[in-house]
Amino acid sequence: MRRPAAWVAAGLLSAAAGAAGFEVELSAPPAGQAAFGLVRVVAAVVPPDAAERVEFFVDGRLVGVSAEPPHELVVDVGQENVAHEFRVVAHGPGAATAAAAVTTPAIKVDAQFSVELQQLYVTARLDGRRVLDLTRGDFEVLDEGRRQQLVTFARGDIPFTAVVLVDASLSMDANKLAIALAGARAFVGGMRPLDEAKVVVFSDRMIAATPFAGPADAAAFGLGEPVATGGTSVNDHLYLALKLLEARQGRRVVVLLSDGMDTTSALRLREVLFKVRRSQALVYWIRPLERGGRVLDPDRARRLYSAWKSGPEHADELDLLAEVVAESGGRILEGNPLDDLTAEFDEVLRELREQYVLGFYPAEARHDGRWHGVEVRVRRPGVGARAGGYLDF
Amino acid sequence: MAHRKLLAAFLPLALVAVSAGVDAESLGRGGRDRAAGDDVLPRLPGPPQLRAAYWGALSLAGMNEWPGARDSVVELERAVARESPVEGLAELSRAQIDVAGRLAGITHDCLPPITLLHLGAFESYREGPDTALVTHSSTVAAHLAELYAGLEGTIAARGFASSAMACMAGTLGSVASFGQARRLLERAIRLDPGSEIAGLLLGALDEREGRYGDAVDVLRPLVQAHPDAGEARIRLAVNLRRVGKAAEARGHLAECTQPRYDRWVRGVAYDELARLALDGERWLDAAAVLEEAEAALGPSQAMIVQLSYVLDRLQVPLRARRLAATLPDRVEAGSRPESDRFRYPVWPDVALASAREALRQRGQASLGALSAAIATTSSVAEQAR
Repeated sequence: MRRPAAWVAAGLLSAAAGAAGFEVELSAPPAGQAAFGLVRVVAAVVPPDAAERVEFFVDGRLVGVSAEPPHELVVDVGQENVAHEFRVVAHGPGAATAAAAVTTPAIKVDAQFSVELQQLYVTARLDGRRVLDLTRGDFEVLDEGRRQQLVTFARGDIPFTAVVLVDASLSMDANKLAIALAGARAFVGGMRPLDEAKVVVFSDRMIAATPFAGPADAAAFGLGEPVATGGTSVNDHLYLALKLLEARQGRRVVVLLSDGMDTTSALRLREVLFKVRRSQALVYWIRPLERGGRVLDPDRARRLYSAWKSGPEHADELDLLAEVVAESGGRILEGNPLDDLTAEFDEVLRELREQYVLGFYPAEARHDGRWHGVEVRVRRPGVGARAGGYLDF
Repeated sequence: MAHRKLLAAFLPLALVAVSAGVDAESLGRGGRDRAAGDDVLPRLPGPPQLRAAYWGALSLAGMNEWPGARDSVVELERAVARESPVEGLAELSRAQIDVAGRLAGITHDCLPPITLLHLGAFESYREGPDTALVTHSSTVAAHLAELYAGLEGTIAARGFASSAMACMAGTLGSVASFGQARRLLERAIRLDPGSEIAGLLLGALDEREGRYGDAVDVLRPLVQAHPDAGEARIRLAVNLRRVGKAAEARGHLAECTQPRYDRWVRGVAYDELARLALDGERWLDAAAVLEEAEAALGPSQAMIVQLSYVLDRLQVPLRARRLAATLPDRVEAGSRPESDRFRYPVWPDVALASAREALRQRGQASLGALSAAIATTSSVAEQAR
């Protein structure tokens, strides 16, 4: 039987000494008490002047060093209701060390839920063209068929944060990759000042990534000269993108440039779906056309076996990826990777600038983790709208 | 000395176009030389020029002039294929098999180096790829290998023949000629049911074609016979998981995490153990496996992604996000040029290289037999003259 994960064990308290000739204890924060926001961490070394320095770690990350007593610091652990591990390591003369740790638990909340504002990003079209003059009264939102009251309404250029995922697996040769990266750069360059984006170049692993940055700063972050190599881990990188966007405020967007044929991911797309549904991020998928002017469709994928997936599994995941995009409120675009993809990236930017944001508090929130499909109707003849849904947590 | 003299006489022939439809000019050579050794040719089957050229190549091999011998065979086969890819190559096959068979009549042991000569030619055609010549050389080599196994009748001879076929199948599989590869592997396993390389390749081929149950059927006895075969064991475990035999898969995966196995095998084993836990929504078990993986092998992206996902499911999203944000720096700092999951589908090249080396040594050990058989044949020819 494997040992239980060390970080899961709550209330772990230790004080260490012995061979070092001195001891260290954590006198704050107290074990068993949840920690939020600014937390004072105090280490007591006995004898007090035995340690040359004391290192402070929170959740495994070094957050400060104290060279003389009193050894203490204040650290911001955020407002999330999670367990934290506080650890101090005292270094004496030579290689002598002593350590102590305290784990503070998360608060257990029973039968108490908050109802979250659900925000829908909606694109309205008439004969394929976006409709930009709709008002709040033109929209009707149905949650599982029940009409909802709109509490917020906005239209136009709402700032967003995006992760642009560029597939650089072996199927992308140097020329295709250069065109893909040019498209991604055009996307970043075309953003408005309050928008931010992070460009991630991936294959079976993350090859290169820029920090999140606005259009002014983004130019300063290069991606080097990535080489197309390796397998394709779409699922893993879609998950990572959503995870990284989680911390960002406002509208969140993933732009994926890939044929979508995942060959090496550790995660299944069905598992990533859980993340997509919770994130409320819009997922746009730019599919490169192959020879013959067609994208890789599920029928062809059904005949393609890779080491980690059978043909039917590939086909199912391609279908599911298309569903994921639709559910998120994003869109699939097709482009020629041998020509120019800036038009497709531009189209995503334009669509993002011209969306309506509709906010509502679900009338019947059950917090049962179930997916709610949301239908948006437009009270204007011929105008259709795309929207998605949300997970009821 | 006799065979060296004979060789010297035949060398120009070896470089001359040889079938009826091939003239010397097409190979950039002068006219056809008459050689003293031609006296031997009427005793050998097939058109004289084919036999002479092939004989010259075998003589070079008998003198351990391996690259020259292989190049001679390749040049001969290419010349014939250019002029007559169907009938010409068929006639050449018959001539080559008959000449080799005659030499085997003197000593069976001359067949391993001759087989290897054809394997060498086969390898040189794969880059093309020249389908006709790949088929020709693999057919001749397989036939000679089976001839040797049949004549000798020993386990070792059957093992040699099986291994030769498996190595060719390995090459064919690497260029996606799966049908030809499968036929060779099935012959290889009939010859030597315990062949590690043939079983491994057939299992990998089954897996690549989505025949997961068949892969299990091939790999399970292989692992029983070769308990330290890490690649076979990890493939068996992955396919067991795919066909729903989780408990049996888990046992093999746990074994594959042991330090005696290759690092990528261990990495995939930890990934798959985590996968089993994820499939059962046993989040704490998954976290424990992934922690153990990091302690044993250092961080990998697959491990970080899976652990971040597990933390999410355990409703520790902040910690999950922090972990995700360590990419790509945390993995780049390690020493893995490729991910274990990308390494897994790579055709079993290490096992193949090892099998090829064993074949080479076996062929080398029989060069004396080939040399002696050629000398004997030459002597007969001289006496006849």
